[in-house]
Amino acid sequence: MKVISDLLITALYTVFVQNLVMSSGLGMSEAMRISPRPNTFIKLAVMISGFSTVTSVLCYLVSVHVGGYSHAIRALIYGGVLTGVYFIVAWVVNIITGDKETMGILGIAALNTLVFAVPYINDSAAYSLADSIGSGLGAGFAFILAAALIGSGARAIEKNDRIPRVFKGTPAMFFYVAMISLGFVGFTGTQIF
Amino acid sequence: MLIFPCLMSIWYHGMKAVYVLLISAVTCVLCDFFASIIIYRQYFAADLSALCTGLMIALMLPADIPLYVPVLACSFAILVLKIPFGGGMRVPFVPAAAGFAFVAVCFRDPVFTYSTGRDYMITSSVGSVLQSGGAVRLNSINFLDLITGNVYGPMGCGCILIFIGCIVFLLIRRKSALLSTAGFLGACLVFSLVFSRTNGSRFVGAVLEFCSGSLMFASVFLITDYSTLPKHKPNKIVYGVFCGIICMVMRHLGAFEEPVCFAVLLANAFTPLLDILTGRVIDFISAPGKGREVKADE
Amino acid sequence: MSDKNKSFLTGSVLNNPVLFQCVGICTAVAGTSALKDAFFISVVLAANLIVCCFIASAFLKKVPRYIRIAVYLVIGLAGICCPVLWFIENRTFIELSLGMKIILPLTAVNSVTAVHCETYAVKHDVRSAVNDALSAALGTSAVLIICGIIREIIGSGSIAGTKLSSFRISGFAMPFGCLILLGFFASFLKLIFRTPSHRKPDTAHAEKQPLETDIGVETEEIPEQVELNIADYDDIDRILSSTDEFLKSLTGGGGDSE
Repeated sequence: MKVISDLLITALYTVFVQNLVMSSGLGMSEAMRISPRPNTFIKLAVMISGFSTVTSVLCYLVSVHVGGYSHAIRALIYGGVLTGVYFIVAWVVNIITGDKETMGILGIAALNTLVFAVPYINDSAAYSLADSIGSGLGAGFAFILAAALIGSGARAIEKNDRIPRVFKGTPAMFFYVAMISLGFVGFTGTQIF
Repeated sequence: MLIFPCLMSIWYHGMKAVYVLLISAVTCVLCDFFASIIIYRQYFAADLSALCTGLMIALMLPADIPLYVPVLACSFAILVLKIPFGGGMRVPFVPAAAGFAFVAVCFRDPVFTYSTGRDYMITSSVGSVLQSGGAVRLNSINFLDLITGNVYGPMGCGCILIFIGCIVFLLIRRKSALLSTAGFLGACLVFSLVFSRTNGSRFVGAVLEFCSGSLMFASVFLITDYSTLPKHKPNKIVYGVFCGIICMVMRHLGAFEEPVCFAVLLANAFTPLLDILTGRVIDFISAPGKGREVKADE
Repeated sequence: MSDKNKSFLTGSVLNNPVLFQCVGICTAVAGTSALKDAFFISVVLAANLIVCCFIASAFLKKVPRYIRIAVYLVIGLAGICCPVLWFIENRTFIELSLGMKIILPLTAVNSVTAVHCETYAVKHDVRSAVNDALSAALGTSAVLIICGIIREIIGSGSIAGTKLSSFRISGFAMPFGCLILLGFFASFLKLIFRTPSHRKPDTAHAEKQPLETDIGVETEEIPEQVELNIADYDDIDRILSSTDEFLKSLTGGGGDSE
């Protein structure tokens, strides 16, 4: 029971309190670029959560043995784990469906800074296995929450015809995302890295 | 309506309050003026939103604040939020909330340190005592002092009676805006009763939560900002409830003694999403016989 | 200006990856809180981008996309990020914060490399791909280093570890501070590429557009905004079009190997 409660609390913490996308910019490029496609949100959330969780668990098991190694070696090992997981999943999905859009989204979901950073965050926070699973699960939904907020904001900005020409487009988008990020600072008060 | 909290702040804090109010108002108006001239080639003197922003920021700060803090807060609110989004009714976030949040992050100690030289029984604000868990110290506070703002705290946010009067005024003039206020205060009340930060009576705990920090001020002046309110009436209540829950969660778990401005920013970020979801639900409900109609992205 | 120089300028400034393509934001936000960090991040990112674009254009055109993306990660991590990190960790004269030792490997999965390799390098010859990578790397590095300088000066009151003043605005050392800086950079670039001689009044905003209110407040006049002709830089319209097109090219279009 404690394991499940730890898992859920960590997942909720990762999604809402310490939203990894808004608190530290992890995966923010992908969130901004995927935000105009809300029909891909559910698929992406599931994929990112899946990859984050599996990578978190495997890296947790590996980190027990490589805790004393340098950051360079640890990065190689974590990267190798992520690449291996991605190749296996991509190969299976390619055999089953071979759908181009799904394969493209798979690449975005697996190989981004958010998924790669989750094992590091678990390490630095000294998460247990349950917490690591929760953190991985929460990462996907944190990403989708950020993408949904950015996407809805982008639509609102697009309808705003009073934005000066010099601020139209990406400048206004950056300011908008900055305000959301400022809102999330109310939880943490500081940044992760 | 802002005139009343301004007068109360001057009553309690004297010339210090006048300086802070003046510097904030002048900074906002000057930033708005010069930015408008550069960007738009014209300035609308009748637009008092910059002045209101300056006064709201000043009222949420301590009277003893170093004057560069309100200058930075006001500059941030106008130059980063109001001007780039076209000003007026199109700004997606409340500028005063953004300005206060910015300086709360950058200068946490000056913004949350209240020392006006008055002799109060408790030498720190109600909010900081609640956050630190020493609520038993609040037993010695006079209830009348608490509701009239005669305690440590932001210079314009202490007098609850004024804000109750403002709510009555809104009831007469802008009923629709009160939906969000009602949702906000209701959510804060329920949360503070269920998860009280005091060891004694839950009701007393709720009163202390309402009288601490800028909660009542935000319920009247920040939550009701017309440009950031959702379009549909039910959404206004949801918006207020959401803001109230986030505010109370941040008070319990967050890093700041008074996080209501951060909660307002997050609620503003959810407003477009709320409007889109409501639109889709309305489409779905309005055409049950034809199956679900998915509205194209706007 | 020759075509070659113009395309270089387009790739680094008008088509800046961070400011207009919205890629590499994680490295900008998380890795530029100090000048030293920004310098290392930009060097590693530039090397990663150029090497990956070269290899993608020269060898990976026939490889399926889902394998290519992972190859970029392997090249970036094993070939560039980890050796650099190993070198830094074993040299006492270079000190990096703990956060940077985490951010540096993350550049192997940065979106700048993925986008430029997939949308340009695999569709063009090696020379063009390397030129594109060089211009993108230059533009990205410039943004990162300028961000690093400003964030360190304003956010920490120091530069390259040397204390300048005790006054600091710590918000700029945080992610939202970097995003605000990026917004102003982007608007500044848009501003300086406007042609003053082509200015004409904006007729689109000439009519009053009443705003919806339910309390009878008088609608405010929409200020007349000057519409500036940037037809000389058609790329900007392309750049500022929906990111949906970029995503489509990433997921739907693609190399001959598909």
